[in-house]
Amino acid sequence: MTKNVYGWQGKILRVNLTTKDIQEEPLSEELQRGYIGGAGINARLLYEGLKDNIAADALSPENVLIFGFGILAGTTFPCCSRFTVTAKSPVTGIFGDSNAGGFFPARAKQAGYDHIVITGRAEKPSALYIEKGKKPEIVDAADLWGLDSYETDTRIQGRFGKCESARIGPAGENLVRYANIYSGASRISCNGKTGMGCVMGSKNLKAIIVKGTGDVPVADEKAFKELADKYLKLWAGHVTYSHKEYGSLMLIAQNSSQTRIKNQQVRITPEQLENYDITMLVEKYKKGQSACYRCPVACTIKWGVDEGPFKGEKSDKLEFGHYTNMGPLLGIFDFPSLVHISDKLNRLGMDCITFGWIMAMAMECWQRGILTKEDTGGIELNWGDVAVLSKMLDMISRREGFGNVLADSMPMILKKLKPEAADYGFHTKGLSFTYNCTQAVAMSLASSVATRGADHLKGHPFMAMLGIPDMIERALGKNQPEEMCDHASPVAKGRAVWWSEDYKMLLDCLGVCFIPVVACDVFGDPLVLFKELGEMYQAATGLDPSGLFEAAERAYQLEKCFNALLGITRKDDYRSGTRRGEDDPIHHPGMLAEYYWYRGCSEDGLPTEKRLREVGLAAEAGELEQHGCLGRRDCPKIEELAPPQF
Amino acid sequence: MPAPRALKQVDIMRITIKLYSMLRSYLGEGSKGVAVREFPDGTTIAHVLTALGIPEKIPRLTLINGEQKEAGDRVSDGDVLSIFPPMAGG
Repeated sequence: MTKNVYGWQGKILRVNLTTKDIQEEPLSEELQRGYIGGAGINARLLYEGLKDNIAADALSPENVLIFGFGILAGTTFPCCSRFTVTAKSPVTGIFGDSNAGGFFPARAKQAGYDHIVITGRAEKPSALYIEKGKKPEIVDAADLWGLDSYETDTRIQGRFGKCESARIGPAGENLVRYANIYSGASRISCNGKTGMGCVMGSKNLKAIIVKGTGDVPVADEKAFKELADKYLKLWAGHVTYSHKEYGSLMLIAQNSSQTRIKNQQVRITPEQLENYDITMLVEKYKKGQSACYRCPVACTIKWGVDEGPFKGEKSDKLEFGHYTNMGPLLGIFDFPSLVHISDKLNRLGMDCITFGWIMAMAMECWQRGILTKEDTGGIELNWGDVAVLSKMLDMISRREGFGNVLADSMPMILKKLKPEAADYGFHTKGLSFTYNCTQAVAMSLASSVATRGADHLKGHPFMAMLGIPDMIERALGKNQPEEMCDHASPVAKGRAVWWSEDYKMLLDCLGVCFIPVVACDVFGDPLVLFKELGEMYQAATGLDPSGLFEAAERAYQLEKCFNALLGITRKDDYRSGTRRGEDDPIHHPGMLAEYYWYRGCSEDGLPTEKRLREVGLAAEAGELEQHGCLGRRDCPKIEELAPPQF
Repeated sequence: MPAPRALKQVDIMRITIKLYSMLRSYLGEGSKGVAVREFPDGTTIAHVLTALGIPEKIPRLTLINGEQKEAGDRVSDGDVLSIFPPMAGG
């Protein structure tokens, strides 16, 4: 039995879908102390599960699919119902993970488990049913197979009663590489990137259904309640006003200068941007909003169309990612059309970012004659053609005709097309990306080095993008270069990305939502950094938080080790595809080098023996050495790079 | 007694100001966060913020015609100046 059972439930559920064996395993103190929870322990479980079979295909039964619920998920703390799904990614073939919120993580944790580890492949469509106090079971899912992500939930509710579920749509069933996982009934959440829905589909696993109740116990109830009350008041207040009113679409205005259309060929015009004026969108199309478990922000806006050809259509999950990857990028300049294709994509169960960039590549290839009717089966991939996009969504989800070509990852698709297509297929390590980061230099770096591929969340360097001097000083110490706050300067961005990666890792271990925490940090009201997160951790678990920074670093290093075993090096820390003639910020001399220095990597981007030993990964250093992928370089100790975080 | 010197003619600019989120209140009730205002030539973003009464302590992003600009940058006739609390995420 696990010793530490406050915050954590102290249990891992292991499910082998091939043998139908289901076992509970105590969550070891070694894992708790070493990797905290959520995403951190997920990284360790994946590494352990695949290090001796690292070449296993992501769609094979050998892939290990892990659901990890944050330490604070299921407690009474506000804005902490988050979970991470981790596996070898079918999009990239390397480390994959995706984080989401809603009600599912809280209920899954309340049902009794910190992590669910799934291996094997079910013989037929199945679901995993977990109810508090009962033995989990694998149930038949023939009646769910083929249903979209919303219909699946409706059927599950009818069959099992009130419950929460994480499920896939037809795209996951048909092994579209970038299929995602949907969860939630009243509040939709997505594990969008890296194809975790495809991994579920490869295991014939349609859904995980949970019935959990009762608050997860914490160690110091008085201190925990004081903190919970304090942050509930903060996070319900002015710091999240924008999120409450606009949702993430507020970023449309913030990023307008960076918006380029039609696979980033040209800048968006002011007239085109007017169609996405956020004040107008809220007035005309906002129909409501929904919140995650114990969240006062309710940042998920429900959008609906009352007139025109898409009258009656709605999307309960239309975020900045949908806009920036399926809107102007594909030549869509009216919101109702975006609602239509976003809702269809959500129902079919695909990642909006990867879909958007793949379609953008295909449409530019069509524009330039690299793709012809012979390739597309007669479909004309004209910019802004909503009917074509709608049709392609259907065909991709069914892997039908040209849809079968586009259902794979960007590198796989480009191999099938003419060589000229490669210039127009944007990706890093096979994954595509939300932001045009020509101006946001720190984000360009973060997306180039993130362990899961092109990404804006693994280490969102907002303190350098937005320029938050107080946060920078606490994070990295006094006397940081002034250019750190200049979003267009490459100076000091490497250190910002390093720290931000470890910070986000801790958030994802605790299960704390990024939105209200960042909102507090932006306002400095107060800053919620390692020290403050440590207070939450200590009140929940009763344990000393001073090792959390090193633990976050350790977990991130392990993700790097996983990728090193798969051959990822410096050559992969770049964006492929067209740069439209502008210098990619990643090529600024010194920026990547600084990041490697702070991350303890060699000049070739590999984890070094010194850093691995420093964080207690000596055995892993040995494993990398056996595979010929251990970095050799003297690197600074972590304590030399940043002030004490507690 | 010498004749008084003619005052230097000051050009007047008209700019559209868009305020979002909690900042809307600085344009007053009923404005819906949009207003056209006149400022003399040479006005900077900082001048506009002061004129609107937006306190220094409120974090903000300022865009002129969709491009991120700093407080010391000047506005020009016909510009659209957007101001809002910054956000991160996606």
